[in-house]
Amino acid sequence: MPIYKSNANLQIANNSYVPFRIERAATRSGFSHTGFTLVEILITITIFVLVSIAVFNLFSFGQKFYGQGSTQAELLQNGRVILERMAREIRQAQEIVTPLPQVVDNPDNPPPSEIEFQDGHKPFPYEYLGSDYYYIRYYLSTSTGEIYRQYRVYCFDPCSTCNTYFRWNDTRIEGGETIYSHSCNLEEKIIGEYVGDLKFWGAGLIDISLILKNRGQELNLQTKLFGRNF
Amino acid sequence: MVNLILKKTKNGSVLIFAILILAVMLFLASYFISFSLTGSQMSSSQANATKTYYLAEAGIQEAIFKLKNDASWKNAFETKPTTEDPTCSSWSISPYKRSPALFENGAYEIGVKNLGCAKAEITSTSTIIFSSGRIAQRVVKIKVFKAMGNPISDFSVFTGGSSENIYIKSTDPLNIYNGSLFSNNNINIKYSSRVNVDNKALAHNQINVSSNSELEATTCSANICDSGCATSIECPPAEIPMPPLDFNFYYQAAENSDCSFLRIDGKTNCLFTPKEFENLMWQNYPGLSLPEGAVAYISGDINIRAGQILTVNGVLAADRDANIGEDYCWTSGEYPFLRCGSSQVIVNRPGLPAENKPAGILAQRKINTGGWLGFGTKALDINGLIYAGDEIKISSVGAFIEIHGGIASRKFSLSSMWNGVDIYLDSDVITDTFGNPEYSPIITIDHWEEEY
Repeated sequence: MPIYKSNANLQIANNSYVPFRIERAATRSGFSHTGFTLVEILITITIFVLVSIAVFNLFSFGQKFYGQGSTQAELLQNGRVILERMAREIRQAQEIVTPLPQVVDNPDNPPPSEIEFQDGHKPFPYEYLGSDYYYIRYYLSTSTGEIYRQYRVYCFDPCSTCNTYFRWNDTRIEGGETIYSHSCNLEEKIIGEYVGDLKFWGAGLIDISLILKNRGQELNLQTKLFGRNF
Repeated sequence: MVNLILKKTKNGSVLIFAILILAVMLFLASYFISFSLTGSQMSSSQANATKTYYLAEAGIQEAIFKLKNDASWKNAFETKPTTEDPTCSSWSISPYKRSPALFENGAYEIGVKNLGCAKAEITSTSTIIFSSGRIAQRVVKIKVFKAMGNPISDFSVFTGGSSENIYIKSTDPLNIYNGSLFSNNNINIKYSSRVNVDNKALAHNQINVSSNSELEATTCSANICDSGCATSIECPPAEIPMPPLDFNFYYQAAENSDCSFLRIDGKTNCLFTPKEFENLMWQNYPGLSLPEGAVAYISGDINIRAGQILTVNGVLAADRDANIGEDYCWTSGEYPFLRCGSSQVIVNRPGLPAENKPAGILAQRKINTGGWLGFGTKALDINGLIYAGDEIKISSVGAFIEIHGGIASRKFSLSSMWNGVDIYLDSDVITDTFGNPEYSPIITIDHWEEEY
């Protein structure tokens, strides 16, 4: 038997109105307890799920942008390091060894993804070798997406015993055969990663195109260089 | 009534709390999304800025390339100063635009501002227009210049003949301080000679040092390439044509110089015939000192002989040969009719070095010295240029020779110089005496800045 606690509720009851919330008397304890109907719970859960999905999406959206920002920054950092280092050394180079095509889009003569040139700076820390000719080669390892820098000299003798150094295109005749000098690497280091493509072309002015890729992000950097010594 | 109030408060608070929490969550979410979007835009802008920066740098590199290789740019940039336009204010280069550049949506515009003779400020403004309509722009500015000098001003001894040599024999020592030797053909060092060169010995063809002689220098030629040589350009070095020396300029300068206090023939200028100059020396024996800053021009040969001490405080130029110390005795119709002894020539540079006044001994043909040159401790004490259009031959001089300046000729030989020769390079006096300075081939970047 319901106990109506106010005249207002009593009036509603008399008008046969079915309230959403039915209050029941605690017959034994003397206190009244209220509960939730199924509809209320379903609506609450639905709203909660909708709000949760929205909040989750918002956070995931933010997380995605944050990740993209980090990836971009990483690509930029790699791009700048690679370009700045190459630019500094190519500007001062004495001679470009790698033949470069004049244009980028000649299918018969595609631009190489490496460049080798004679170092125009002091050959630190290899002055003690006493060579007149030191060479630097930058190349892209397509399997790892890393740019390598090789510092090298050219020899006729095996690299392990070589102590006389020559130009990259020096030849000598032994037993009637023309022998070409070969390269010996003094060091090989990775200077950048996440590289998707690297191209060199141009005559006089050298064009460089560097495409960096990581986690779906791509950065294409291009510039031109003018070597002062060739 | 009390119960009613309590119950109403309870129900309302849940709703208010829910709305409040929802509002806070919405606020946090919108803040977070705005924060993330801003971060994303920043990284995207940074990437675009880097692309645009390298595009602007490409513009700068192309501008330097054009200043070196494009005839119209090069000629404008290398405008020489004149008396009417000493600061070269007349030259200009029109702005140059490349579009598209590097990227389909990239472009750069290069502006070159005249800052003086072979001095310019290059501004490269690059833009990339993105599909969204946004534009990224970078401006890179550099200041560049070319040093002005003479192509041979780094050489203490220069020979321009393509089949002639620098020939040093029986000379110990020849010391070249701060400078280099350059020959368009060979450098030959023979017969117990010792040559010490602070910088380089450069020969377009060969450098030959005999077994009993010694050359201490960074040696760069077709047959020897030391480690200090720039291999691609100095092994061997390219031929350098002898720069022209304008004798007409010195003729006019002599016309305008004042030698009136020395002359007794009524003339006032410093233009002399060989006979007039010989008389001047005879009348001013043993020491003749030419006026400060004067250019003395002799329309024929000069013979300095028999104990004559000649001090030139500027330039002594000859239409033909200059012979110094070749005769021990000298006769004349004037008292004392005969003079004998060893001669000496001193050249002083007039004014302050900053005044860039020329100094030296210049001959259109040959300069020869003989065994009767050598009075006191120094036979030749030169602060200037020794120039001969043909050959300079210094041999068997009886005293030490000291030159602050340089030597330039088609052919040069030094023999039996056991008292030694010291040559201290003075590029300024070489440049100032040659006149018509030329620009260095190197473009130097003086200043770099980036604008946004």
